[in-house]
Amino acid sequence: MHLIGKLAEALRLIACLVLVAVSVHIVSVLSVPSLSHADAFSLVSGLAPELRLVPLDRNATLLDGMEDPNVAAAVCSFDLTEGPVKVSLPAGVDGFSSIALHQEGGGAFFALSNSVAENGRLEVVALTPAQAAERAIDDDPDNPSGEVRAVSSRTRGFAVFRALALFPSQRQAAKTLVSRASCQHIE
Amino acid sequence: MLRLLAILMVLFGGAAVGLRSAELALDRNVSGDLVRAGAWEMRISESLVSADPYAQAERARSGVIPLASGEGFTLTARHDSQGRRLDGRCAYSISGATPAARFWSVTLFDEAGRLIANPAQRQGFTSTELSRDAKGIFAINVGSQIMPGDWLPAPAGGFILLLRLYDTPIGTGVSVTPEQVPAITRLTCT
Repeated sequence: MHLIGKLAEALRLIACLVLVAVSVHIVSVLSVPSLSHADAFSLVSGLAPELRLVPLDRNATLLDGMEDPNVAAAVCSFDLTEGPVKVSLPAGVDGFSSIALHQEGGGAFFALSNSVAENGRLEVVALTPAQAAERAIDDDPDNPSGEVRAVSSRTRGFAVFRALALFPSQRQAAKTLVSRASCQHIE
Repeated sequence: MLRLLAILMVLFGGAAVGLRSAELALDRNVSGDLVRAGAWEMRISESLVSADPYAQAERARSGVIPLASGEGFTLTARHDSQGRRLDGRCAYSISGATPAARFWSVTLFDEAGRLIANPAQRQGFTSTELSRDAKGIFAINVGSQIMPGDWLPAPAGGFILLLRLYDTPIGTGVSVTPEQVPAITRLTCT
């Protein structure tokens, strides 16, 4: 009897240990995104003030995620607290160009490529759900603005502009293209 | 006294096991969204806001900005089609089908994820610059010694190949089958 009691006690302790281990495991994995300073948003927002366009130099160790050497890229960070942000990029004549919007905490909430560009430009307005609702009220149902809107669940984030050079000789043109991207607050 | 010791052991032991296992899980990329097709592997939810928790944690630690699903998709190969580790002492041929995409590129990195400087200034190919035979088939020859045709120089040691698809339905709920990806065939080894 005494032995069985001891055995039960030991089993109980082991069960508790497993429970603690599993809880700590789950909590630590879930808290990495909010605690990390090495995430893409922290790195991008540390490069320059909000809305300033920064070309991503492949030689910089920063943001080096085995980037495609054929792709020229630039980034700008934004904060939607002050209002919606419009980002735009010339579509380029041939090849591939794109805008992706990523939010703080990780993950892209919107992206589009030049396969759907209108008037030679890629343009998208990033806004919060409240700003989107406000803008929808102002819309004239008979004369839609044609504005592409991307709603973010977080107020802070960053835009990535990419242009693919189809041939090495086009790399400079791709760099020039992304350097003509813009990020600005709109009313 | 003994009871207090037992409780402390459970708390600290449990915390240590929990932390260590979390670290190991992230170091070894255990996230459940890893999909394999032939020699290539891909992370289906890599760029999503709703990626699985391990993928989110890995992303937050690495600082990588993955291609968003509206832009494209990245496939990675560390092994040849027979499952042997890619090694610059061998020569390889990359040929076959590629998943539907407006453009794609193949790029070579060393095992630390760095591009490799070489006299040919060749670190990859885009789909538009490859030469193709009468049937439209391409073949990229990979190796540390100079090779005929479209030669992609490799380092003497291990390396990684990245296949990037631009403007592709892959990643937006469409997965890749082994028949849709190019085979990486080992030719000769020195």
